[in-house]
Amino acid sequence: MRLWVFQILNGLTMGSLLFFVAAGLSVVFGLMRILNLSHGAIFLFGGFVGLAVQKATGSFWLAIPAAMLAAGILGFVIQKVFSTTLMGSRFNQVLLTLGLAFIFNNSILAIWGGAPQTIPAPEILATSVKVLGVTYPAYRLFLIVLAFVSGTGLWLFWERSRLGAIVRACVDDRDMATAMGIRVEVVFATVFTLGAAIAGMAGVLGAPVLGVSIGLDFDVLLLALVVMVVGGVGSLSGAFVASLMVGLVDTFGKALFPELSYFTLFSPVIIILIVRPLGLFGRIPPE
Amino acid sequence: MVQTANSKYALSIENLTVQFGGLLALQDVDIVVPPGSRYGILGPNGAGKTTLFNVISGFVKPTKGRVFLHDADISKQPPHKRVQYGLARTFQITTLFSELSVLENILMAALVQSGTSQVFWKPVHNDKVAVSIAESQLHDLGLMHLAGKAVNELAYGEQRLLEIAVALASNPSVLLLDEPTAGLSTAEIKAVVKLVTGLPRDLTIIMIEHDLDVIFDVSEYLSVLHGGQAIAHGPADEIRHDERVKEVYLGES
Amino acid sequence: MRREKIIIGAGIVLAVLPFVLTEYWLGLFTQALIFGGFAMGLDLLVGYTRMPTLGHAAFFGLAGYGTALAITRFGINPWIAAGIGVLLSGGVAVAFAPLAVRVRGLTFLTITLAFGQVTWGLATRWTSFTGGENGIPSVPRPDFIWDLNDRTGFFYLTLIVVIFVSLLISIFASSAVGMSFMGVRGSDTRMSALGYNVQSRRATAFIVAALVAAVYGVLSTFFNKFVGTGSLSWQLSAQMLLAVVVGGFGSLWGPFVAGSGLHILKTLLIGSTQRWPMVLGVLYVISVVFLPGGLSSLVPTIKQRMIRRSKGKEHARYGTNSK
Ligand SMILES: Nc1ncnc2c1ncn2[C@@H]1O[C@H](COP(=O)(O)OP(=O)(O)OP(=O)(O)O)[C@@H](O)[C@H]1O
Ligand SMILES: [Mg+2]
Repeated sequence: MRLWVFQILNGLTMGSLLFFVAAGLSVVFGLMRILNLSHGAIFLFGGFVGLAVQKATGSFWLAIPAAMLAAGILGFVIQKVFSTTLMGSRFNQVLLTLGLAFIFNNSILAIWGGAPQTIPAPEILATSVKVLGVTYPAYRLFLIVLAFVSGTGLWLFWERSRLGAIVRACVDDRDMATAMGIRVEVVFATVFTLGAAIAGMAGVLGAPVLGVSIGLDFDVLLLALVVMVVGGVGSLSGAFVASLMVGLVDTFGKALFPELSYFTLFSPVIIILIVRPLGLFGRIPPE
Repeated sequence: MVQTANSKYALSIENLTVQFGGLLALQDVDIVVPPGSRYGILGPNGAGKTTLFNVISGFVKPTKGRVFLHDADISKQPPHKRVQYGLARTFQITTLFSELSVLENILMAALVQSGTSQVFWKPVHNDKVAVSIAESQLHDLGLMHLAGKAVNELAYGEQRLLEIAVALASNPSVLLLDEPTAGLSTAEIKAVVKLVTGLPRDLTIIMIEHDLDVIFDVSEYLSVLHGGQAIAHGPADEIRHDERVKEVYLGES
Repeated sequence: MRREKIIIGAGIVLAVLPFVLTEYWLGLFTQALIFGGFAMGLDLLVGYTRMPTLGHAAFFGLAGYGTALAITRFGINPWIAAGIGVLLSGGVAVAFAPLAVRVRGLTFLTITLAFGQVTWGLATRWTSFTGGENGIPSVPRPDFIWDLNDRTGFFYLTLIVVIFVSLLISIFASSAVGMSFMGVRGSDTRMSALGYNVQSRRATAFIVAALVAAVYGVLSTFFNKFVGTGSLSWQLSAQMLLAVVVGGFGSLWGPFVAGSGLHILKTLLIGSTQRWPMVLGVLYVISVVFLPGGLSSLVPTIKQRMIRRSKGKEHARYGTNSK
């Protein structure tokens, strides 16, 4: 029983981290129809920038805004430099951002080296707490709570705020939004930048749990892609539910059938997508 | 191809309703088309005309209702199977293979008719039967001079003609034409009308058209759609003088 | 027929390589042919049918693993084992393709990627059976009319297979089925309206590309006398996708040349630096931004330029004549 609670919490931790990565990916796709395969590399970039800042200043909390800023700038630059290709065919987007993912991956390797590293959890959270009969790292609980809080916050923002309404208007009908006087390109650039910044933040938040190492970028990208298509592109609630599902399935698969862990994760995913090509909550065909 | 020469109707549609979310695109539509007739579908933008064609050809699943082709219920068939019942269509937005030549576009349809579309062991241009079907199709329509051209070298009017030619190469008994003259010049419209009126009389043609001159030129029967409902059916001459039709569509405004 | 003649001609030219190359380079060229062939098969799926996949290394690797496992674990004759490898890959493709082609675009990309990772995960984690990270070493090469353990001997076997498979692909591509792939790429609504079962055409493209990958996966395993998780990796899938893009969609020869070239480049670079992903990435970006038509698009361009130039000359001549 204890083991189960422990694994469930681990699954939720993983799911929470995935949510931060996938939310950005999904909103950018839903809004701009841009598939950004360099999202995982931006996540890792954020993690390494955070690590550097944390080493220099000793502060975890400073590492987060620094990583967000750096990743946001990177996202902004990508968006600006390659806007034509990014707004072009899906095929070209895939190739371009895949290429960028390779370039970032290799640059990170060149700058920070290949040895896996980690950022220690911030001091106040570097303890354990008793929940549901198990002792569990406070930092991980913090991640879970943060995901629920920010998930709800994002959802409220999305559904209730004026800005959210503008963004949704752009998602639903670009031409109509333009006709209403919304500057769609500005909204797009902002969302792309924000998506990257959130990925960078997730890189730091995830570091105490997953570490920062070359290769993580791709693992995270793949899981985030899966979350996005399973949840339904452009759907925040979908991304949230799917993140937790994928986090849980991944954790349990690894714990119960370590030899088959990829199989136990991806087979259900493939089946879900075949039965529901739009994903669980999707309205937009992910083409 | 399933040919039932003695069937009463080439096409009949029963009680057809199509709902897209909250929108009723078609509502309880009944249409019957006698074999060999020229049948026009009229209606303002958004009336549901293309949706009607999409249902007949199987691209849209109706919420309710059935479609019969020569008395065979084809409602459950996927689009590609309906071709075997003798159905072919054109699209409102030209849908040709822009990277292929004119002949190859027709060949794509002819291969299905010659039963050689599954052949993978010899070059398609060596398929004498299919190539001759395609060439004679082009020849009959007077388009042979275009055979070697790439589709994107064609003028728009020629593309619309090719769109019809490709559908004809499927050797249909019922042909659906979705606004074949939209966006064409007067001279080009004439060419389309000439092509359509010159088609064999045993072919049933159902045509969506906004150009009233064209539709009254070509069709013997008409149905008028408005807001998803069929508000009038009948011989073209009667419809021309139907008060309701005048009101909603011919819009004496 | 012109393309088939070129293939045979190129094959004859390549047959002199053992006389002019050192052992090292001959080995490198053998592998380059294998990856070129893999990319050429993928062109049917990616170029002809426009279905971008990030998982086709799975079929390359599965066939290699199937062969290696059959020989080393079950003591099966290498020729039969090769057949088993190809059948394994082909069988998996036949089972997976009808499911995968039901989705498109992003979902298709994700599904193929996930599928590739499933096979990679099995090979990596199921250590007791697959050897895990260490792969399967000491895979013997089969016996043949001539000695395949000799570099030259293996090169000729590879060359024969490559010529044979390339001829098959070339004929297939120009057949009714090959043209229907282009039709599906152009407009699948039109294709169904003409009576084609679009899903089954897409599945066919998927399976054929998988079978080609499988044949080369077996060859690669015999060449290396080894199969490892790299043969199933998404990086290999990405490299092959790039080969098709750089080579030019649907030209067949372009992806072949690019697939071979990329492998040679990779081997030479990996020897000296860790910068392969960078090179791959830069190539991706350059080819998408500056050369969207790929290598093959350069040839018609040059041809057109020559035509234009000669026309220009004619004009000039007529000009002087009329004076
Ligand atoms: N796949 C679809 N999903 C949702 N709504 C649709 C779909 N197809 C058509 N509609 C809607 O159904 C209504 C009828 O469309 P349809 O294309 O049949 O009109 P039409 O009579 O062909 O008009 P036009 O003369 O402009 O071609 C329109 O309001 C259209 O927006
Ligand atoms: Mg219409």
